[in-house]
Amino acid sequence: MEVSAEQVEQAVVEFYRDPVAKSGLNTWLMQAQHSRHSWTFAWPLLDPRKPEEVQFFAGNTVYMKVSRYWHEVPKEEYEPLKIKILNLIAQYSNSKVVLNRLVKSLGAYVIHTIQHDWTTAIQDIITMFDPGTVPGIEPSTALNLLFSILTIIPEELETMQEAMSINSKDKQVITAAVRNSHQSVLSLISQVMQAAQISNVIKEVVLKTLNAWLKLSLPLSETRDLLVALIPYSNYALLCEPVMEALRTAVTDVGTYNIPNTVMDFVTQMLRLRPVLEEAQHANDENTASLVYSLFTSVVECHSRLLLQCALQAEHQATVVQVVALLLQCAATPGQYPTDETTSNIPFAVWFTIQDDIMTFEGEQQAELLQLFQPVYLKLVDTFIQKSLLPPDNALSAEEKEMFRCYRQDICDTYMYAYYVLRGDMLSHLEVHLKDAVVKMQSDPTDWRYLEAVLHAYSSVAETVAETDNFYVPRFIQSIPQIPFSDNIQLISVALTTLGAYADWLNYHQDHMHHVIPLMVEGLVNASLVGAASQALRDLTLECPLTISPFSQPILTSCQRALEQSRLDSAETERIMTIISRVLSVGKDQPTIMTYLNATLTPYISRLSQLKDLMGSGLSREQHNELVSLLKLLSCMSRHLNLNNTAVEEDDDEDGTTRRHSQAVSGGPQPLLLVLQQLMPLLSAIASKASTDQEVIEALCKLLKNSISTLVDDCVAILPAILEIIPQLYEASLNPAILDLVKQLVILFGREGSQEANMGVLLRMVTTTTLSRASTDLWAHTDAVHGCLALLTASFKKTPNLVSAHHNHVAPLFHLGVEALKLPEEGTVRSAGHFLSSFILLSRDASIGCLQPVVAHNTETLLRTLMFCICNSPRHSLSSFSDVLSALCKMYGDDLTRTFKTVQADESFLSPRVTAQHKEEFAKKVLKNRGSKRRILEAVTDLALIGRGLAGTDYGAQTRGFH
Amino acid sequence: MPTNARRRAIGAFRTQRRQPPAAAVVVVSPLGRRTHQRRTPRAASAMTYQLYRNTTLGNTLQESLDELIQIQQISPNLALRVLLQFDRAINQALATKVRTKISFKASKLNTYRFCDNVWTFLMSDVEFKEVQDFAQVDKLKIVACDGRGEDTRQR
Repeated sequence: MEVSAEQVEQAVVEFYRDPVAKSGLNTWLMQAQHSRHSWTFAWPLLDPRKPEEVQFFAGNTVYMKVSRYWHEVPKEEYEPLKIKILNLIAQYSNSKVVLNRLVKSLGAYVIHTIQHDWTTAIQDIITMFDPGTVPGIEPSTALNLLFSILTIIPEELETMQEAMSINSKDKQVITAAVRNSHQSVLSLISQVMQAAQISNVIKEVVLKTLNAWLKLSLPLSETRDLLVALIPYSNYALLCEPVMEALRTAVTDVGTYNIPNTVMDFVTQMLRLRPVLEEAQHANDENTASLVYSLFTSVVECHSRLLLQCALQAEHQATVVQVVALLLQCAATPGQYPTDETTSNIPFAVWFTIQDDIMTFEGEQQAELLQLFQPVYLKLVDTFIQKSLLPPDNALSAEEKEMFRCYRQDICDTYMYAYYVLRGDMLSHLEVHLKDAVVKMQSDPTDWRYLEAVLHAYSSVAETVAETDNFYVPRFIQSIPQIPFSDNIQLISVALTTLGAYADWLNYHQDHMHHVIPLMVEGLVNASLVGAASQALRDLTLECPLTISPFSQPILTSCQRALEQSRLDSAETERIMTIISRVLSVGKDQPTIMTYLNATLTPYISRLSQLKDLMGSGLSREQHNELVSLLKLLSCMSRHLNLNNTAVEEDDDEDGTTRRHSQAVSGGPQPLLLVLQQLMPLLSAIASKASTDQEVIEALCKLLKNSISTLVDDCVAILPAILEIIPQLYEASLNPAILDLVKQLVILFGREGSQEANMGVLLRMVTTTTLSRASTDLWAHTDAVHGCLALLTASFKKTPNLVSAHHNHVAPLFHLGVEALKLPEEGTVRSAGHFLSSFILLSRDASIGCLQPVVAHNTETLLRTLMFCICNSPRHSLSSFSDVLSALCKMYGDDLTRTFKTVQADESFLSPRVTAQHKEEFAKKVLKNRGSKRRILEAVTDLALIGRGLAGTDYGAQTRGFH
Repeated sequence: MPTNARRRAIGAFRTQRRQPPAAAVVVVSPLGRRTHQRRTPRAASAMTYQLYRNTTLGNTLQESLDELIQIQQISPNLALRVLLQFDRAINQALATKVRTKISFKASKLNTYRFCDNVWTFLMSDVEFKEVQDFAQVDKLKIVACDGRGEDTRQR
């Protein structure tokens, strides 16, 4: 289109004036900007007499054209273009907005020409904008302008790969060309920084320029003197941040790893920042202090190994010790985090890095380092105990509380790292703190926060010490009964949580169990402590199934009382049910277990029965939630009440499914089976009344699934009831949780003579229902399709006899799989892919003859669907399509060759992006690589990129691994 | 999944180098049954890994970009810039904003490998615990990369 400057000016003015026409004008203006005419219309619009928005648009157009459309500029136009831009920069030296665009244009120009055409660009620019010689511009403006240009050039280098379509090889060459001029820039910066008459505002710009150039990886040996000379400037508020930024960029540069001596020398020089820090602390200037601490944190994070090596050398040890001391001082910043200070969190990462690197040293060197850092980490533990003290109630707002929680979490992690360095010394140190805290608590029960912080530290290292410590942990555990908790709920909760964390250790130290059980058992019957106590006991029963057995009586009694007395929430009740089930699972005879279960479960089962009766007239929201909670409670019991749990014999199938001998050790049936036999009529009644209630179905299926996992073969006794419930539920709701349950049953009983027929009927019911209900609207039943195809895939692998027994279902199921490939959900497509692959791979098996004709008759439909999906479906499913194609290739290579020819002949298929030649190439690649899944996936990816118009683009190349 | 506190909703974790324990470090005890995850310290500068592209968020973004390119609303170059910005933003956010500690215990560690500085763990029957909340999953895959900054790792 022909575009004139007048038209553009009018459009820009209208764009800002008329909100209705905005969208249309935007499109037009963008097209105009991208057209070749923009080289012509932009210049006359860069006129100060034009409206500002028009000038800005023109400036932006110049930048876009120079950066992205450089290939449109003929070589003879390079010089005139440069002169135009330079003149405009001089003209707009006082107009910040348009000037920025023009400076960026010059930056882009330099990047395009510095390699061959304007090799002296940097020196020329420095000369051109010399404040002493440039005509018509104030010296300070000229200086500002000069450094703005010098800043923009390295910044444009960073973005050029994406914005200017310059490849990475050219980028390296151009970067090297720009970097070659660094000496003249550094010398200029040095001169300006030393000039007393130049304002700090200008010096700030100069420092930004320095930082931009340092990012080009300039050698530290050449920049060191300049950087050291900058340290005194950090006293000025305005310059502190850019100085720190420049120091950080220089000292953390990748190139510094090759010059350790220079780095150490530089770090020693950086310690001259300590007076700046002291002054900042004196003046309560947290900002400056943070900047200095952050800088040293970066130094240690980047060079921790070098610093540790130097710590082993006498001449450098002092520097390392001083740097670490500085960070220790930062961690110990006085006051409450985050209200009084926000600096003590800065060096958290450092403590991990140091200990991690110490561990990479070996032998004597490691021992020497551990010795050197032992006092540092001990001091750190002292500091953290103080810093993690809980503030008085209501001292923090909700947001501050969350920040403090995160802070304590960081402390918690760092205790673990400290433990790796200190080992027993840390526990010994904590013991001293514990004694002090107990004494303080005894003299003043309101002073409990110190004790809480010490317990928090103990809990942080609980999993790290594991069972290896036999000296300090026992002493800590023994001291628990002596701690004067003074009924302080918060303190007891922390103590319970801490003891729960030591569950693993207690499993190996049964003789210490009696120190901890009383506190937990008492906690269970206290409404305020039941949460923490049930949590701790649950951990204990899961970790120490055998060692806890001698304490089962008091635990069971307290659990019973807790259930009777307290108003528990559902999570607490579930935890208590878990404790009961775990405790009953070890060392009890069946009558005892049943007596206890009867007493515990009767109220819940009665309530469940009442709710079932009420279901006819409709449950209230609360009643419905109660019903679901009760089912979840029983589900908890069915998962954990397993007499074979601790004496389990495992026999892994090839897919990892574990089959267990389920008969109880005592020889009698599992108590769970006896409970379920009583319960099944009630569950059947609930199922029939809530067959469309998804929440109830899911809870019920979970209960049955857990029961089957626990009972394994023993569940045959309740199988008829389960087989009655499943069709009732599935026909009414198509809930995928039911399919999960069916899958479990089919895998477990599908190969056993006595139940094989039942499983066949069950599978037939599921497939018939899915086909009749879901096939009509796959999009609405994608989860049922997903579940059904996953079930069939499992059945293909484990019980192919069941699938092939129903011949007339096979073809519709294959079609269902093919149609499911078109669905948008990744899980469903993956499931369909697995199903079709298994189907195809199994179809050549002579013993299952009914599958082969289905594949043979539908090869073209399948191939068309696959190719269509490859070009149109979300790309994360490509591997699923590729798997099906691989299976087809492997088992039906000849058929596929013929089918590819038919598909290629259909010109309208997948056009216009995918041509006949593309299809031919795709077919060749697939058929040629029939043995290689990886190569077939590559062919599929190539077709996917072609189908989306992404072939040959950087974006397409970068996202090849999308799947 | 538990609902309180910030957590990463993306199935990949940060880690440190060398040892399995790290950012989303998995520690395996001598018994080979106990595992737990720790949060890594924050990196000085977040590494821009591309592995988060293969998350729900990343996949959805790429699908959207594909679509926008096809209907010619954006150029492939712009899409690439968006994707690179996504890499930067998600690495930065996960490195600096996540403060939740979740521990987990797996009944079985099926496979583990350390290849190209990436740890991969496949485990089954896993219970996640965060304070008082629990979540049970049948299968878990952990892909753990070095959580430190790029500069630090190049040593």
